[in-house]
Amino acid sequence: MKNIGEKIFSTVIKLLTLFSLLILIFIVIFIFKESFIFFREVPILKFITGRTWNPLGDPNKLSIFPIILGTIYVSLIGILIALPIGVGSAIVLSNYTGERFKRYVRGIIDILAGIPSVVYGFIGLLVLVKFFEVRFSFPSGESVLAGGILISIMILPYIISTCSESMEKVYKEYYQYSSALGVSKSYMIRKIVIPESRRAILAGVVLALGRGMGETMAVMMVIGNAPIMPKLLKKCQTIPSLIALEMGMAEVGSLHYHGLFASGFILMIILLLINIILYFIRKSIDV
Amino acid sequence: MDILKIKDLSVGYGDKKILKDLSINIKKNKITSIIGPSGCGKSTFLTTLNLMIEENGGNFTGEILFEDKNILSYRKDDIRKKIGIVFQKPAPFPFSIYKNLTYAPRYYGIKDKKELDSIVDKTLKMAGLFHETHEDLNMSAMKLSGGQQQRLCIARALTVDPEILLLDEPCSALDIKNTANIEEMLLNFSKDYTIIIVTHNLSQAKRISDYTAFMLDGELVEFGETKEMFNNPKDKRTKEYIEGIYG
Amino acid sequence: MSEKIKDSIFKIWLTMSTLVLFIIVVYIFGYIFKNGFDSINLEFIFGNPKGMPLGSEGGVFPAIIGSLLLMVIACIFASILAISTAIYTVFYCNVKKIENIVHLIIQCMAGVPSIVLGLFGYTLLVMYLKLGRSLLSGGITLGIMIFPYIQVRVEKILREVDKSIIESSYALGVSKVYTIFKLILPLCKSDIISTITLAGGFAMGAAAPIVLTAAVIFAPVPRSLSSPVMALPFHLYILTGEGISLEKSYGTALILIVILLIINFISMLLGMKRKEHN
Repeated sequence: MKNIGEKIFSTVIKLLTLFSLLILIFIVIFIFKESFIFFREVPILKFITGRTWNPLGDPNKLSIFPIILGTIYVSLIGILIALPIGVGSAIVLSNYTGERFKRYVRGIIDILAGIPSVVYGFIGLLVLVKFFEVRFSFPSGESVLAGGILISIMILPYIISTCSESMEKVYKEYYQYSSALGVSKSYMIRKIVIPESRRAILAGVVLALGRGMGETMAVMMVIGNAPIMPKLLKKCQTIPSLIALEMGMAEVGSLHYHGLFASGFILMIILLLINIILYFIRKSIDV
Repeated sequence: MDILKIKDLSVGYGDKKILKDLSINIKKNKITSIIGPSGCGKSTFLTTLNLMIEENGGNFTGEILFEDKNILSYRKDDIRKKIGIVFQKPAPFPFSIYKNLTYAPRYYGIKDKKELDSIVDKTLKMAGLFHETHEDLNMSAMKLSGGQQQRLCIARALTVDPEILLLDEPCSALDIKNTANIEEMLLNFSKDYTIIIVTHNLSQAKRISDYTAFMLDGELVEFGETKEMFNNPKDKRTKEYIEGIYG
Repeated sequence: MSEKIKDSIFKIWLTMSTLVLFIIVVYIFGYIFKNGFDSINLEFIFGNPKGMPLGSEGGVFPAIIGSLLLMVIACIFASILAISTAIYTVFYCNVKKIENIVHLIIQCMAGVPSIVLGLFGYTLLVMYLKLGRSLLSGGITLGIMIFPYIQVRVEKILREVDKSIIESSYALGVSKVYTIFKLILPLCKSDIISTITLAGGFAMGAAAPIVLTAAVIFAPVPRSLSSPVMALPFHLYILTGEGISLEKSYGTALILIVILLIINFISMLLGMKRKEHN
C-alpha cells in the first residue's frame, strides 16, 4: 500500500516538473511558429538590420534595427544611472547598518520591487516627462532619457539585493582580520569588499539588463514610441512596447501580426542568451 | 545469540573507501561499544546497519545478516523500524513533544488516541523524561534543554519498538549530569534491546558496554568483551590507543 | 591622492546613493498617496466605471475583483508547478546534471519578458486552445510569469530545513512521502505561503501579460473563468495612456498600491511567524 502511494507521488511530482520545464520549450516553439511565417517573407538578417518599420505602408516595410538599438539604449542608460546608486546603497546595507535598520531597508526594497510597472510609467509620464518639457522646454519630454531614468529606478532593487548578499558574506569573512590591522572600515571596503564582490556586481548588471530590456509598460508610457534611430533626448521605440502597442491593431494572420511575433522572438533569444550568461556568472559565485 | 552477523563489509562513497572488510557479530540484548579515533569510520558503520548510508549517497558490499536473514531481503522501512538510530546532535522535530512521539506510530497506522497516548507515556518513561514533561506534552520540543532533547530523540526512536538501537556519540554534546542520565537509561534498556553505541569517550565504553570493538582507519582492529579488551588488549594498536587517551 | 581623501569621497558617494534611494521611495509613495487620496471614496471603490469616455466617472470595483481573481488563479497554477518542481529537485533528483539543467531552464523562464509571455498566452491559450480573452488565459499567463519566482524561493526554503531532522525521519523507517507531507511541508508552510503571497502581488501588478490575454476596457465582475476581465494595472494604463481622467488615474494607482502593500504586509507577517516559532 505504502509503496504504491510512494510511487504515485513521485511519478506525479516528476510529471509536474517535466510539465513546468516543457512550458519554456512551448514558449519558444509557439513564438517561433508564428515568427517562422514572417521569416519566410522577410529574411531574418534583413529584419534585424533594416531601418524602417512601416506596417501600414504599401508594400509594408518591416525591420527593427532602430527598435533593437532603442531597447538596448534605454536599458544601458538605466544601468548607467542605477549602478552607482545601487552599489553604493548595497555597500551601506551590507557593511554599515544594524540588523534592525537592515530589515527596514530590505522591506523598502522589496516594496520598491513590487511596485507595478504601470505605476512607474504613470509617475514617469506625469512627473518626469512633464519635468523635461517644462524645465528644459524640450519639444517632447518623451525620450530615451526618460525611459532610462525610469528603468534605473525599477532595476535598483535587483542590483541592490544581488550585490548586498554577496558583500555581506565577504564583509563577515574578512572584517575581523582587517580591523585587527587597524585600517579604516571604508579602506577595507574599497580594497577587499568591492573587488571581491565584482562578480556579484556583474551578475546584478546582467540581471538588470535583462529586466530593463524586457520591461514593457513603464517604458512604453514615456519613450514616445517612434521607431526611429534612438537619440538620448529624442523619442524611440523598444521591442516590448512595440508589441504591446501594435498587437491590438494588427490584423490576425497579417504580415504585421507575424512581424510582431518575430520581434518578440528576437527579444526572447536575446534575453535567453543574457540569462544563460547570468546562470553561469551566478554559478561561478556559488563555487 | 547473535542478532547481527556482519561479514566482509566494505563501505564507500564513490571511489572513496571508508570501511574495509569488516566482520563482526553483535550479541542480542547486550551493549556493544565502538571506539576509535575520529574519522575511523565508526559513524559510517552505524549508518550502514540501517541502510541510511544509501540515502547519503554511499554504497556497500559484503553481507549483513539481521536475525540470520540478509538485511537487503527486508523492506527498507522494516529494517529502519527494527533498527533505530539516535544521532550525535539532538534533532527533535520542531513540533510539540506529543507530536514528536506520535509521528512514526501514526505512519505505521496507529490512529487510536488511547494507543498513541500509551506509546507516548511508555517511551517518555523509558527515556526518563516523563516527570519533566508529562504536564505539558504540547510544549514545543525546541524549548527543551539539550539533554532533554536528546532523551526525546531516544524516546522517539523507541516509539516504533525497535530491536536494535544504534547511538552515534549521543552524549558528546551533553554535560556530565545528562550523560549520566543517559548511561543509566541505556543500562536499563539492555534487558529489552540490543544497543550499539559509538563513543569517543573510553570511560563511557568501559562503564556501560558488555562488548567493545576498536576501529582504526576503516578496519576492525579488535573486538571482544569490554573488560578483557581494556585490561588485556591483544593488538598493539589497541593498547596504544587505550593508553594514549589515559596517559 | 591620499587614502584619507579617497576615504571621504567614498563616504560621500555612499551617503548620496542611500539618500537618493530613500528620496525615490518616499517620493513615489508620497506622490501616489497625496494625489490619489482625494479620488478615493466609497463609490470609487464599489462602483462600476461610468461616463463618456468610459472610466471618466464612476469606480473601479470590477477591476479590483478582476485583479484579485487573476492573482488567485495565477497563484494556484504557479504554486502547484513550482512546489512540485522544488520538491523534485530537493528530494527526488539525485543526478547533479539534471538538477543543473532544471535550474538553467528556470533561470531562462525567469528571463522571458512578460510581453513575450503575453504573446505566448495569446497564441496558445487565446487562439489555439480557444480559451479566448479570459480570466483563465490571463491567470495562467501570469502564473507562468511567477512560476520561476516561487520555484526558486521554495527550493531555497526546502533546502534550509535542517538535514538532521530529515535523516531522523528516514531513520524511523518513515517513507519520503510521509516525511514530506507530515514533517517538511508543515514546517515550511508559512514561509511557502509568504512567498506565494508576494508572488501573487507581482502577478496582480503586471499589465503586459494580460494586455493580450485577459484584460478589456470594460467588463462586469466576471462570472466564469471564460469571462474577460477588467484589471487595475490595465485600467490605469488605459486611463493614463488615453488621457481619460487624471483624477481617476491617481485613484486607481493608489488602490493598486494599497492592495499591494497589504499583500506585502501579510507576506511579511507570515515570514515572521516562522522565525518566532524557532
